[in-house]
Amino acid sequence: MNILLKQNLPRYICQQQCYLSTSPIVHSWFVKLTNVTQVNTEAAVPKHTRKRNYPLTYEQRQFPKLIGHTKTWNTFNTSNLRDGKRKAEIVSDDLFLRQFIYGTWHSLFVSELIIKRRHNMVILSGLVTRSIHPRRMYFLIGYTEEILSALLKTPVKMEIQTVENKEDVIFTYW
Amino acid sequence: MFTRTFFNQLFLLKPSQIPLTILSHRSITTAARLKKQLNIAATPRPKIEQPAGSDELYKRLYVEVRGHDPAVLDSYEKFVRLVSTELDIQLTNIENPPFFTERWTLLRSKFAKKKYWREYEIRTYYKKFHFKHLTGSTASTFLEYVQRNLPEGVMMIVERVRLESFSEKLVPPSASPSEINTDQQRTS
Repeated sequence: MNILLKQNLPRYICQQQCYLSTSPIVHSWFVKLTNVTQVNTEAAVPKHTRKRNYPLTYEQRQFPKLIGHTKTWNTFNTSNLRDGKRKAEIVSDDLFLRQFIYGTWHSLFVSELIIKRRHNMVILSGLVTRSIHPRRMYFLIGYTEEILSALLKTPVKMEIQTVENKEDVIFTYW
Repeated sequence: MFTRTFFNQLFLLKPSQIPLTILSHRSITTAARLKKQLNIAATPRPKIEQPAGSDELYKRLYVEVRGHDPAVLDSYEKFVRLVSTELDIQLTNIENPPFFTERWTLLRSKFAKKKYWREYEIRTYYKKFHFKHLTGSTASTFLEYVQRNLPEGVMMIVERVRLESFSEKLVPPSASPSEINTDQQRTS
């Protein structure tokens, strides 16, 4: 089935569904799909909506072919350099971190999580909306730092920046 | 099989079997010849006293930095220049070795369509800082400061050339060349 992009906007702002196909049928070897919306798709490249009202952030508007040109990565580590170590561990840790933050900070993160690794430290950054009380936010920061440091056995630090609301990061409508 | 010439026959022999006169024509260098003439081996070796607990001496220090982004390495170069001028460390050269690319050519489609491929590449940019004449404590302090300020996504490899006192067990040869020749002829 086609799924909505992860945009946690209220219903009255975004009615249009933007198709990003993640259907298992597209990747099956015994069923061949022919419909245009599901077959002619590209990763992280949304198709234009009829009403052109689907919101995209600046990062989402830079499609993956621009990575290395005008777009940079979301993780910074040395595992992919020549003689870099711990490739698999870093990738799996990154996947876990993204899912953990997405689940702990309920619809608060407005940008992708940016993971930086310096020596043995992991530094998490991103843009967060100020929809909860600051005291709760301080608790969330402390909680994530403590529990992730215990799980990953490395010092984990959060360096987030706040934004008033989601509309501040919308760049265009697709 | 190639034809057996004089030179080919020589290569089939082991170095110990080759007569010394033939070796000397091909392999002696100008420096070695001058050393023999000056008879440097006869001069006494100076005894350098190193008191206990003295610092190590580094003749050279090579700090190689690798990253995916050349702009990040350039800004790190600015920082290292500043640090070396502030701490009075002799930075002799900053080398920019050519970058290395790891290329993967993969099929664009998951089934068939062998005509369409996609090229991916992963680039590693290098930068090498050459330092000279450092003491052990200076080097360790400098390296610690410079490593604490390494940006994320940048790795560092350090090579050090240390000065060691000459080992007492190594003694220069005292025999003259004529004696060596007679020995060789007797055995062969």
